Amino acid sequence: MKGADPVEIEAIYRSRLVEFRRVATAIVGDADRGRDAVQDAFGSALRRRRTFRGEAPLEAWLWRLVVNQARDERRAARRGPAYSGDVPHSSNGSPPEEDARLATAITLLPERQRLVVFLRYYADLDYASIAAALGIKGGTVAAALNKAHETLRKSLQEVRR
Amino acid sequence: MTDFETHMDAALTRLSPRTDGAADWDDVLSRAGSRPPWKLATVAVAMLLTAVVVAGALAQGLLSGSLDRLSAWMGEQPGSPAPEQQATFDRENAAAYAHFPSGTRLGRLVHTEFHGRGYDLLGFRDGSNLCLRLVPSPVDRHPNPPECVPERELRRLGTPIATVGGHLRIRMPGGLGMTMLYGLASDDVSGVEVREDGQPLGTAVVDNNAFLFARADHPGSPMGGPPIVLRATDDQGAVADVPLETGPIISNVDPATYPGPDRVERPLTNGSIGWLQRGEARGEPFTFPDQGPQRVIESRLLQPDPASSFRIGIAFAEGTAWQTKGGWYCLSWLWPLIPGSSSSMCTRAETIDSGLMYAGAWFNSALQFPLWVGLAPDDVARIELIHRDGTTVPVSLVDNVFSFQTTRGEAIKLVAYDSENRAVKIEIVGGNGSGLRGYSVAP
Repeated sequence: MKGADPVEIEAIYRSRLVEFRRVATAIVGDADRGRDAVQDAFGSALRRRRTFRGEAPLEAWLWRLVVNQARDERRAARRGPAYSGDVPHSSNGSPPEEDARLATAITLLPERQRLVVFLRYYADLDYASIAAALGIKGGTVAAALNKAHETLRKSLQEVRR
Repeated sequence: MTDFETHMDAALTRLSPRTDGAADWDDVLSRAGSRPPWKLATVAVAMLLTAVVVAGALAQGLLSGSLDRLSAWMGEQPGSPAPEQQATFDRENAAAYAHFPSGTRLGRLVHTEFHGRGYDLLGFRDGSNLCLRLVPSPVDRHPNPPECVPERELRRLGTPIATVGGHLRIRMPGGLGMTMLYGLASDDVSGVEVREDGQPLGTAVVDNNAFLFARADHPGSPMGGPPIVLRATDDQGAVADVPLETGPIISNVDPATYPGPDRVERPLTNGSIGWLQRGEARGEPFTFPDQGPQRVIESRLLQPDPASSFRIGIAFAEGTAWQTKGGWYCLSWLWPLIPGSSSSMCTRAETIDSGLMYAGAWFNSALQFPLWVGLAPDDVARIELIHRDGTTVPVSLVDNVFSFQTTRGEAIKLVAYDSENRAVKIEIVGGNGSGLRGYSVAP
């Protein structure tokens, strides 16, 4: 058993905190709970660091903990659709109807596709890292992302009609 | 960046904006160790940062006193002096980018105990705003922002009480929940009862034109659960029920039926913020938080509303990656008493080519009297805000940045005019049932 170095865990936490929080917030649907999920996930990582076996990069293992913690938070919140109402911020930074509809379409994607989108866009992870973070195959990541893009492009086109 | 990618970027920013909250490794360490202490601390911090709820609906019943009658707020400070909290306040105020005027006096309005911990509700004035801040004892290591409400908005509501802050049904360790609400009460109000689904939940402590309510509650989402009503009473037993607004931040609205102008007289084109792009030193110096995909070229600190101490960092930036090529305007929210920036966002410079850009800021989805901040191109000389009831309010516009506060659950109309008083942009800030949106009213 390899174990993870707490110094490395802290370094990844500090260098990727913005991305961890964005992904967690997107999953949970609430900025405070998203922040909490990240803090909890790293607390858990420190407690469980000896179980890290080094079969995937440490960062991927941490992403997995964050994603799972955020999903647990979301379930615990017992909410309906994640984005049926409010978001922590909102703006009219680009054509609002198209962006609002697209945002809604993202939240309506199947969970696996949604998580792949979040990790690809917010965290800029490559397919292998996404696969390691979600515990799925690289080919599955590519297929999920393609499917998600197809759905979202269609959604955007419908808005414009 | 393709059109699709641009929209993906905007849609994903809607779902989870880029924020720059500080790292808190100590908190991680405490969560990795003994769990109960951090859980309690976290709940308290969340409680203090949790925005709340506004009594957005009209009071019904016999009690009709309105919030322009607040005699405890007439003196040097509202309530009784609080020297220890004043010292902490002065220290935090001096350390924040956005600070209240020196000499701001705060007073203790209400005190209550909950779960073995004391809570003081403090009050103070900031220009034309009334501010409340809930401070636990011992004080949390994370500072919490105050909640400020324009007096004008309180008067417009016409209710004898208004919830200003707190949190609803927050989860606590062991599966318990907690509800805490605080706000302002007019001179006529002697009691406030909090009711859920028609049944009494408990009574608030009322003193110094303020109320504070805390009780164990069943946990759940702040957005869900049965409706809450605050029942205000006076000494003669007259009653006014004020619903707590827990729904969407803004409501659905049909732009065609909204009061105010409905025709743009001169559409805007090629809008920009010239002074910022030219690097003019307006406002105060400001180091904008790192934006990653955007390289900040020029940034300044502005006070968009002279009547409020809230500040906004503004930047002109350039995209550094293929997805972000081009010019960007960025905003950074700076709350009084909070060191550094609480959050920031960037939007493509083209956004204000033909209109206004605006964004709401709040600490979580349960809040508020939401605060909105926006950017207007050079051609906009003034902006007015029109409420559903027809009330028209000038929006403060300083160096192309504007801000305004609204009441939760109420859509509003923004009308921008050029220097010749022609309407150049009309927008409804409202909901569409599937999320927040802005409607451009067609020319």
